[in-house]
Amino acid sequence: MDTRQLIEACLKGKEAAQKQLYDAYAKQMLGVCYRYTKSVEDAEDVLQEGFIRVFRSLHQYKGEGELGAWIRRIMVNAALNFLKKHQAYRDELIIKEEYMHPVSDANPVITLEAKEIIQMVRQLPAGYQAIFNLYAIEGYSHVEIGKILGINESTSRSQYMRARNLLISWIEQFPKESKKMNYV
Amino acid sequence: MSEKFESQIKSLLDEVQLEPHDAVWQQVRKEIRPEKRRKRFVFWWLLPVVLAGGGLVYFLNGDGPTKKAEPVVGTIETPKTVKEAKVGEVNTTGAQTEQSPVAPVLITATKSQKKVYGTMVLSQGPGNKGDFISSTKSRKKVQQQSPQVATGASHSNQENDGGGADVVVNVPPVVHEDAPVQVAQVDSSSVAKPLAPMDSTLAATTMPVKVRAKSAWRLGVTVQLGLAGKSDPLISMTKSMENFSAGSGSGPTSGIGSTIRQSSHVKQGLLYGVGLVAERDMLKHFTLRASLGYQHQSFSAVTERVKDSMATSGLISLPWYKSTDRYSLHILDVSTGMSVKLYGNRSMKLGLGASFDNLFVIGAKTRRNESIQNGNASSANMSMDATGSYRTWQPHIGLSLPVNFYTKQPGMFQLSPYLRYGIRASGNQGSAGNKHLSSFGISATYFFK
Repeated sequence: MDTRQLIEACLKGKEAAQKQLYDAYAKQMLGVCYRYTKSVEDAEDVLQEGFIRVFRSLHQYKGEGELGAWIRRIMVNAALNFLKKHQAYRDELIIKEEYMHPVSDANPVITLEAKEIIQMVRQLPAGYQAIFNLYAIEGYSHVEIGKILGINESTSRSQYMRARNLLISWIEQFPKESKKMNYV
Repeated sequence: MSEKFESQIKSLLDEVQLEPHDAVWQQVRKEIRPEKRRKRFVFWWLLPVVLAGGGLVYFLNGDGPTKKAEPVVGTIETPKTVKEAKVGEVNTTGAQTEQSPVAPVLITATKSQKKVYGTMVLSQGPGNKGDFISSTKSRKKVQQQSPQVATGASHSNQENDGGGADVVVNVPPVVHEDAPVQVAQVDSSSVAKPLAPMDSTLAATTMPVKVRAKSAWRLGVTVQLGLAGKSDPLISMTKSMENFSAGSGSGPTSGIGSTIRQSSHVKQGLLYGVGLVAERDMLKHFTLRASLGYQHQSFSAVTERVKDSMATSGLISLPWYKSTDRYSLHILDVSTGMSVKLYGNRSMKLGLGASFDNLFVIGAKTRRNESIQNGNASSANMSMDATGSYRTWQPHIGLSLPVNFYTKQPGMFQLSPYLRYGIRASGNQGSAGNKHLSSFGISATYFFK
C-alpha cells in the first residue's frame, strides 16, 4: 500500500490503515517530541495530541512534500502548544529581552552519541531548548521563530547563541568515559 | 557563523527514534473514533425515521379508507332486477328521477351480480363478472378484463390517463335477481344538468376504460431551476484546529480544541438539478414521493461570525471533546471575522417526502455533498474551512410549498413553481450544526405512461 492509498484508507476510517500510519512514524516522531520536553511521558503526551491532529486533518494533506515532513510540522506545533500550556515549561519559555550574546564560531567535532546530545539539548531551559530545536533541527528562521514564540527576531537570535554556546561547553566538558545514558 | 555544528547536531538527532508506549496508540484511536461514530449517526438517524414513517403509511393505507370517488348522481332502476333504488341513482329505464341530473350511461350487468356496496364503478365488457366494483382493489379487476363502458357522460377523476373514463355511481346495497340485466340506454335529452363538462369525443361512444390502480407508483423525471438561500444563524460547535497553521511557518496561534461559533452566515445563489421521482398516492390526501437527483448550486456567501474559541487548551468536561486530564478549560480567542466566498456544491440527493393534497410537501433528504471552492476566503480570521473540498452525507428535512398544478397524469409535463424551507443538520470535518435553507424556483416533471 503506497502513501496515497494509505491516506485514503485512513480517511475512510479504517483502523488497520491508521495503525499502519501510526507505526510508520510514531518512533521517529517521538524522537522529535522528546527534544522539546523533559520526560518521555510528556513526549508521549505530545505525540498523542500530535497524532490526533494528524488524523483529523489528514484530509488537508495535498501530497505536496513528504508525508513525514508534514506530520513532523504538526508534531512540532503540538510540542510548542504543550510547552505553552504547562506551567513547568511555560515559566522557562518566557524569554526576556537580554543583551546580545557574542557570536561564537566554535564548531567542535562531536564525538558523542545521539543519546548524549539529545540529553544535553533537553537540559537547556525550555525557551532555549525550543529555539535551538526550531533553528538548528527544524530549519526555521529567526523571523519565523520570533512569530511562533511571540518574541523579537533579535531575541531569538540572541537566545539561540546562548543555547549554542552552552551546548558546546557541555559537549567539550563531557567525560568520555561517561556511563551509558538512558532516555528518561 | 559556520553551520557545521548545526548540521552535526541535526544529523545526530534525526536518528533518534523512541518506542512509544502502547497506551499512546490506544488513546489516539479512542480520540479519533467518536467522530466516525457521529458521522455514521448523522447519516443513519434518518433510516429508522423513514422506515417508521413508511411503515405507518403503508399500514394505514392497507386497511384505511379508500379514496372516495365522486359519484355521478343518478338512479339505476331496473324494476325486475333491482329491489331497491334510491334517489341519486341511474335510472336504466331511461327515465330520470328528479334528482338525477345525469348524462346517459349504458349499463350491463349479469345475473351473477348479487350485491353491490357503496361507491361503484360501472363498466361493461365481456365476462362481466366483477364489472361492479366497490373498492380500489376491485378496480384492478376491471383493468385486467379490459372492460368497456359506453358512456355519454363520465366523470373523469384524477387517475384517468386522459383517454378513458370511470363512471362512478353511488348506490346502496342492491340485490339482483336471476334475470340478466338488460342494457338500457338513457336518453340524453332527459338530462337536466350534466354534472361536469363532457368531452364530446366521449359522448355516446364506447371507449375502452383504462383504469389505473389508485396506489400505483408514478415514475417520472424532473428538472429544477431556482434560486436558493441558506443561513446558519444558530450556534454551532466545531471540533477543529482553528488557526492551526501547520506548514505555514508562522506557527500555531492556538491548538486543537473546540470552538463555539456564532455565525451569521448567509449564502445565495443559483441552483439547478435533474432527478428521478416516484410517487404513490397514500391514504386520502397524501402522496408519497421518493426522489434521487443530482443538484448543483453556485453560491456567493458573505459570512460574519463571532468565535469563542476554546482551542488553546484541551477540554476535559465537555461531552464532544475529551482530552487528557491534565489540560485545563481555557476560553480565549474571541474573535470576529468576515469572509466572502464563491463556491459551489455538487450533491447527489436521496429523498423521501409526502405531500398533502399537493399543497405542501414535507420530506427528508440526505445528500452526498461535494463542496467546491471556486474562490478564496478573505477573512480576518482564516480558518481551515476556507479551503479544500469535502464529501459528506447531510440529512435534512424540509417543508415545501409548491404552487402546484399537479394532475399527476402520465405522459404530461407538470410545471410546479415552488417555495421551500428546510433545516438541514450538517456534520463534516468535525463540525455539526444546523442550516436554514430556503429556495424558490420552478420544477418540471414528466411522468411516464
